[in-house]
Amino acid sequence: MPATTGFLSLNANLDATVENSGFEFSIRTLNIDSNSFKWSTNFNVAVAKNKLLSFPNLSGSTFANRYVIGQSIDIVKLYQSKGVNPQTGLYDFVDLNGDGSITAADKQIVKDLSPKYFGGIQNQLDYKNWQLDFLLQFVKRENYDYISNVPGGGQVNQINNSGDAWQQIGDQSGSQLHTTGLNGSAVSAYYRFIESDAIITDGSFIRLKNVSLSYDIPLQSASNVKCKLFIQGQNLLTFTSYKAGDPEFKFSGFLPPLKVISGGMTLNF
Amino acid sequence: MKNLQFITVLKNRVQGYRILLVLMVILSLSSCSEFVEVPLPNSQLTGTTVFESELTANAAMAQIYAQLRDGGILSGLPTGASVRMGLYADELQDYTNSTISLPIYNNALTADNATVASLWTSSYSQIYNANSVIQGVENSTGLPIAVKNRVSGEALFVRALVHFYLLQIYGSIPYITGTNYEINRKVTRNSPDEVYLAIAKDLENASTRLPENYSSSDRAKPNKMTAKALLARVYLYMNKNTEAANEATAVINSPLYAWETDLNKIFLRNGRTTIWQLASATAVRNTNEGTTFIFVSGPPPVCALRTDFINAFETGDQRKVNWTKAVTTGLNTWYHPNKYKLRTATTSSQEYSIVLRLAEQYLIRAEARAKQGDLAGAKEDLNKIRTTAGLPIITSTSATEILFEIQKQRRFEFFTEHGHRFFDLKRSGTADAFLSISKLGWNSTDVVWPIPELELNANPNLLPQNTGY
Repeated sequence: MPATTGFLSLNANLDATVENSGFEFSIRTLNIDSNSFKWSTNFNVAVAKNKLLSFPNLSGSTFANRYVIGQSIDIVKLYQSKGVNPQTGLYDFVDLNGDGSITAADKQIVKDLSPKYFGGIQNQLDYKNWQLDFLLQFVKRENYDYISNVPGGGQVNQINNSGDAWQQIGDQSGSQLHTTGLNGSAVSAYYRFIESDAIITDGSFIRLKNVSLSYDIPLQSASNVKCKLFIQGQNLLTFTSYKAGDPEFKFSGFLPPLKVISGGMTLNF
Repeated sequence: MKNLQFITVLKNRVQGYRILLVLMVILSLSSCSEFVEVPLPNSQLTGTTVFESELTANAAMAQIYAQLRDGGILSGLPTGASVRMGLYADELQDYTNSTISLPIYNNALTADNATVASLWTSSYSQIYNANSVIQGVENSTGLPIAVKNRVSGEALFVRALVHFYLLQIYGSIPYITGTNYEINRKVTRNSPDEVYLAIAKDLENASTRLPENYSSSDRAKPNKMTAKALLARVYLYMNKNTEAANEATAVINSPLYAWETDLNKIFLRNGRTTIWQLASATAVRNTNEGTTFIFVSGPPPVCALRTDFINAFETGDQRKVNWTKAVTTGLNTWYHPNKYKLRTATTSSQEYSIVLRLAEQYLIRAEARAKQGDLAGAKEDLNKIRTTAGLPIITSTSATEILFEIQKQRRFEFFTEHGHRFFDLKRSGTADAFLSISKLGWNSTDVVWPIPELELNANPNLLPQNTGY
């Protein structure tokens, strides 16, 4: 809600229609099944789609800049970045509505940040007394790159390539000129930059989510005593081109998924 | 057991119907609502019942005054205009180095700055509350007419006051007079002229409704003169000099106020020149301004007066001695505003946050008189201020010089009092001349702040954004 109402938000039902559709596929294969060695694989993949079908009077509502009919409700609307202008040293953007200036109305590039598809492959291998389990998780999606939220003048981590920022006319650089926060146009260009498509990057990843190796100690006695040794690991390996931290969990101020290794013994009697 | 019960029920069935029938007759004879309606909880009030009793109507207004004191533009907290506009103009130096206040100090604001949004949001929330009091009082059947007039007069005054500050900071703004969110979420912006007219209308209306005398101790509630004092300022800003001088004269001549020549008594709770002030939250607390500005060792936690401001005081100006204070740590010296002298609580509150005071009325009348050509009258008022500050009287016969001197006195009289300096620079058209020298990041378009980005997104009717953002 605009603050002119006296409130920032109001709870009400919207007369909008959202369609959720998707499909899931899972398959289990028994690759090898002999007396001493067994290998089975579980594979599943899911595609979920979400679409705003109708929203009466969307353009006149407070959500006009937030939703687009026919698109997912997880979209963000962004400026179209033109990179750093070699003349001014500032981030440049495309004037998409052609009114001669860059305003919030130029945020027309739509990016859908919900996952395109995701799934997992689980393998289970048994050999004599040994058992090995591992799960690979994969997600295909786009995500925000690292954003420092501070254009300059503060003690905050900056992006990696700000080391070769624009310095003089003609410089070709991915990062605009440095400012202590005094240069108003650089500050606003920076804030637009972090709301532009340049800040959206491939956030896909494949992660070795779980590994578990266990060994049943063969005991001589005929009693019911069973002893099993195991070692387990979580989040051991991640394959991704995403550079801005953990691709699975992007909230600052909270712990991302931890790499956990645990070992132990279970004794049944 | 279950079976047994079942049999009993069957046996009683015939009789049961009879009882039911009798009950139905009884129910239809008596009023049904007594049984259906749940009484209102004793601990809570609905919107309409609030305005059926003077006590609760006063409580509704008290909540608005507390809101003004503890948030938004008039608050003495670091987020209020006394600090924010002081940083934005050439009064204060920022020492927080925070990403929120640095862009204000550097005049490098963007539409997504947190203060840009919070001053706007809290102000419109205050306006909403004032509007809901105005409506509630209007629809009330239980309140005596005198109470109705007083309470709605107070709310009209607050509505005008907050819009006045919004106008100074953001330029064209919507003037909100109702509580219907379906209307208020689609509002468009009114031109400064329209807003000024609406403010003046509300203030005139308020001044006819408000009582001559203060309805509370400590001048914590506006009276008729409070509305007139703000009206004088608004007329001056509108360049209606005759009206401005008339309203100022009405306030100056009121027996409620007396001139104070001791600079250290002006900002006391029982100050004689106080026209309206915001009471502190408890009986022992003092002002937010005191807590915000005063520090005992450097570096300053929030802000300090700029060196060029301290150096610009005329030699002998007693306001430099009494209203600023030097703090030295090591080799560095900083100055903080020392109008309010108490930083923490005392056994009973000694200082309240003053919003309107008599000195402004003299300087308003001086300026209005000078602009009308009454230089002798202007000098008389101006020299009242100069004499109190320990400065020699002005004898100039040039209107330009006198107006320049009035602006100068306003700078040293009202520093860190809700943004006077910046608003004066703006309306006199001298913002560029002063601020382009003292402020590195100053641009001509910085005379208005941007409309908060979230606000433009939520209500595209507020477009276009102010130039330069």
